[in-house]
Amino acid sequence: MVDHADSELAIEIRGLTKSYDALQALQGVDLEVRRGEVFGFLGPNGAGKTTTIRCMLDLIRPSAGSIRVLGVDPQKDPVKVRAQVGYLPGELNLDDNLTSRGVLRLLDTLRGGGANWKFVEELARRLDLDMGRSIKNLSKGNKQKVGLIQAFMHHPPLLLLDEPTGGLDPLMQREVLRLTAEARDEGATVFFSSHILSEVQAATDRLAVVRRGRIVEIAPTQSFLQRSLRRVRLEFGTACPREVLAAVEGVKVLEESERLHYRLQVEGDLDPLLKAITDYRVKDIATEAASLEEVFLAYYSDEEHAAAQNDHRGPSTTT
Amino acid sequence: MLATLRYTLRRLLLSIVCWSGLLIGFGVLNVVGFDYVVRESIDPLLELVESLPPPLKALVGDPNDFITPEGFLHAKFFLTAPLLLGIGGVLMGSGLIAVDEEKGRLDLIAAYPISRAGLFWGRSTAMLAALTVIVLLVWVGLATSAIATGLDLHVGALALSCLTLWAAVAAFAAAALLFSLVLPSRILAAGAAGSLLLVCVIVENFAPTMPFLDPVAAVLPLHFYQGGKAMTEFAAAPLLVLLLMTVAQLGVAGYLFLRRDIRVIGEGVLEVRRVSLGAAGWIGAYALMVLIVGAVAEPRGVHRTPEEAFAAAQQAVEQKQWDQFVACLTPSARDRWTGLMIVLGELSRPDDSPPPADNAAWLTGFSRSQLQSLLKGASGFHEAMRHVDRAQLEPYRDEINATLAGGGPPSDDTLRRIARAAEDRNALLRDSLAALAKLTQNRIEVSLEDVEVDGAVATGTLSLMGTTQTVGFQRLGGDWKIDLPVPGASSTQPPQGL
Repeated sequence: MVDHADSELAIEIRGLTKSYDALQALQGVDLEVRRGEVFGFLGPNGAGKTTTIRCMLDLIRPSAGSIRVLGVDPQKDPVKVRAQVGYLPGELNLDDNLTSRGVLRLLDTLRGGGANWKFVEELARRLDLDMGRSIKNLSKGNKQKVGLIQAFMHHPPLLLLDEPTGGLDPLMQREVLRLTAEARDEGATVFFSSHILSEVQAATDRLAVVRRGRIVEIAPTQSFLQRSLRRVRLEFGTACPREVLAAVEGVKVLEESERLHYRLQVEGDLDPLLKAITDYRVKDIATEAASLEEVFLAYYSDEEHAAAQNDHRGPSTTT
Repeated sequence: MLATLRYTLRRLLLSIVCWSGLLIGFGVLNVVGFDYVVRESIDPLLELVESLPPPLKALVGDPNDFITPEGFLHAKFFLTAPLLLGIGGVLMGSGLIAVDEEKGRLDLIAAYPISRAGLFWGRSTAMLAALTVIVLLVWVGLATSAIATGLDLHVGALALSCLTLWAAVAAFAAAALLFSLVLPSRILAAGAAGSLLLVCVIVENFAPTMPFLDPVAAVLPLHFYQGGKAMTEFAAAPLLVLLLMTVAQLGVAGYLFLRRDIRVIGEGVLEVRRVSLGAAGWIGAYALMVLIVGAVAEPRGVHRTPEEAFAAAQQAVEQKQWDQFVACLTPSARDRWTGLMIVLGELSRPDDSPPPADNAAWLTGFSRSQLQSLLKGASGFHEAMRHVDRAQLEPYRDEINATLAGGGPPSDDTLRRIARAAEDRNALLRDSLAALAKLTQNRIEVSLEDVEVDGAVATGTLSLMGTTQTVGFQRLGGDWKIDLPVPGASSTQPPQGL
């Protein structure tokens, strides 16, 4: 029997499938998260992010596939997995009849006690949370802070954060990203699920893009940003037919005006585009690098198109 | 599990306070009400019930069951309490896990290092503990008010009744918990379990007048609820059935909870497979219950046919269990026989001067002096007469003497009026029959034939030592009882040579 406890991988998922009758929520997810990294899990609502996390905690049972969290199979020893995980649910709901402190004490008890309350107070101070107030009187953002504190307060080796900045103002969002970075620096692994690209961009080392229950790409966050995807604005002196531009590989026409003004999305070098328009007088050309968000959206746009042609395309991986 | 138990109990605190308050208030009202309703008007009440037509009488049940403190509490409190507290139990059971699921709280709690089993059994134990606390408080409230008002109730026996109440409510709470794990929402689960509770109450109430409901009533949980009757004739087997049913339902619910997904907000999906599994589990729990009932746990004191009532009476006589024999009789028969025993007691009092006529042949063929001599051998007979308030017999003294002198059996009406002198009719009858039984060691051959049932009444032919006599039966509260005539009644052919 192989001992996975010392594995370099904090999370190892193979062929994870989850079906709800006719609905296939996960369709063979493969994923590896290394110990000590902040891993982004990116996808729109309904892509399967929460389902994947809930399978990792044995809150729901996979239809097929295998999972190891910190070397442990959550279906065989869920308590051991949960003992090492700090979890923030995407839809956080707390007992309205308790105060924030009461909730945290209760959750601490469920973990067997032992939380460092000085650290808890420190977290509350950093997140600007009054722990004496009743949950029912808290705003969504303040409840989210309670959720964040309970996830971080035991210094767990693995943090599963599902949409951690939901409901928080920008200042607090930044504080959460700082907490995440600090946890990583202390050796924890952070699994950061979100549909907000900017925060994934700021917080994660690597990320996976999930779509319709499938991982479509796993790559270092920087490689997404460094992709040579750019926006190009062209202004012609003489009319240039749309077909000329659309025929160039890697070029997508986003906007067109009287065959004189174009906004294009270009993936790869500009050289083929420049060669294709040599017969037309170019009055102006402007380029700009795409943000992760644009990369992501472009990716999804492509994916939608590809999905229509081939719904069984496997994931590509860049390391 | 302990942390879960404590947390759940704390959440149930408000329910504990509300339901125990409601039940205690209701119970205390009934204890106090006994004085006003019954003590002041026992005889008019009995006459009223006696005057009812058989179907209505069957619905009302045995009036002796509510002229005693135990019977009154059973009829007025313990028959309603399962419905009241049952609603509380259903709400508790259906919300125990489903509420947290529907509100999305369980997703976080279940992600903590506690096992599913620990979570389920921690919460289930807390629910049972909450019901225990409620019933315990109700018992304390009833016992305290009974003591304060001088109601002759044994607090230990009262505890047995409360125990059966707890068992019945726990069974419905467990059913609600099971339903909440297979149905898509807490509301549906509470509705299903609440409907079951209501159906049980309705069926149990109407079965006495509608015999076709008997088979249905026999397999419903409330059939095994003893309530106030446990104070006088507690039986362990029906209680065991309810307990087993609770355990079985919790077992199935726990099994389902361990295997199913934790739902989050908006995932209220009706899964046919899960519903089928739950239904199979519930039916299985019921089948187990019915099997046990069929084998060992037939509730005591319930006779579904006149023949069953007769056989039970016969068995009680053979085993000299006179309490059970008395319980097999209709209230009229009990009064009739109590009156007869009092007459016998008066007849055989050693300190009394002989009545004018030495004529007691109507009864046994013995002369009065022979009877007097014979009853001296029935040790305990005269002690049984301690239950008679002789001062109350004075208005009937002439009737008693006239009866003795008249050579015929007293009429039912006379005997019933004479019976009113007994402070505790059942006890007098039990003790005097026990004493008379000592007169003979011979087995008395009795048989019942030609039983004809007509709605809530029946007749049959009783053969006893060469004589035949028509005997009546009445169906009271779902239970057939024997309307046994006294010896020497007009239909009896007197034995020769006795």
